[in-house]
Amino acid sequence: MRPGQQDGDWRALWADYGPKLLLFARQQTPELGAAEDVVQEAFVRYWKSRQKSPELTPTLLFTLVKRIAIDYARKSAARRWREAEAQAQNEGEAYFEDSFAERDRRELVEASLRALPASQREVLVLKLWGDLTFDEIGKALDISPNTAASRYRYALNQLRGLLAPAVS
Amino acid sequence: MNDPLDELEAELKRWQPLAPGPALEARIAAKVDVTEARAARALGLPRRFWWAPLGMAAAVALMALVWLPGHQAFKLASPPTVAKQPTPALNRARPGAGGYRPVRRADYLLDARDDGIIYASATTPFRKIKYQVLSTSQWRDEADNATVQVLVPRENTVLIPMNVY
Repeated sequence: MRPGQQDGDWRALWADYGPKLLLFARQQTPELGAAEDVVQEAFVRYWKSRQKSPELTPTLLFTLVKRIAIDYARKSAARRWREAEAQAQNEGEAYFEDSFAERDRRELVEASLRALPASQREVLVLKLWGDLTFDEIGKALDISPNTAASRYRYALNQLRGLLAPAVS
Repeated sequence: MNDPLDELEAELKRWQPLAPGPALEARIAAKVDVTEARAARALGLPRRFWWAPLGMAAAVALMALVWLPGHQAFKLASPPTVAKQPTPALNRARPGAGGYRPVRRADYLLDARDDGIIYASATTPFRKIKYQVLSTSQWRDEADNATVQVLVPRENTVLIPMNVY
């Protein structure tokens, strides 16, 4: 945790975790607007809790995103949810920053990520871009650390097939 | 040994997740700032602040009942209560003739609440946001430096149209 995050500066926490949370939320709810709503709710809820319990670690943010996304999906009309999901899967708004020269590569990486099963993709996102350990991922997703590790391994193996030419 | 998966990890980690837009940060700021104000109140500090407007309003009302009926600038047919008629009374004051001049006006955001999504029309959903604002106005009589402050709590409802995908 950065120093600024301990003295009540929520913006420092937001600058650090905002992009990670949004990327993770977009694995839970494909539509960008819905993902933003989920992130907002999770962040505010976490910050409120931390006023009472300063020992809460930011890892909890990912747990909250997961839970709120599940609630959000339940509350939303099933039809709208499916439509949004279908549209997001088809068009796929960007996950990552890029330069113009790297746009094709980014699109390939994102398409490959979207091709993964959701259970593997969320572990991959938490590990690579959330900087969580397998223990922390296990707690956030309510699975064992071993399960998290094996999903991560499966995900990488599948991605290797999809991205191999450019990586090697 | 160079594990091919390590290379892949490095390649993937190179990509930086897209930063959330400023609109999302602004929405969080509105919520968090209110949260922090409430938390501070819970610690006892702004409990004073929270009740201050009510106390001040009561003081103004009391002052009006005791003082206004006899004052030159407020010669009304019947003594008003500030809660009911502060503005008409003050509007009678003539600047430059020993009357009251407005010296300060400010709005304080007390609370903001997201009431979720509503459907005001058949096609467009709206996000409904409620703001509680305390409007304060202060007048001063230059002749005797007396001041009158009026506090008006207001609630504004804003509907923000949303895009549906």
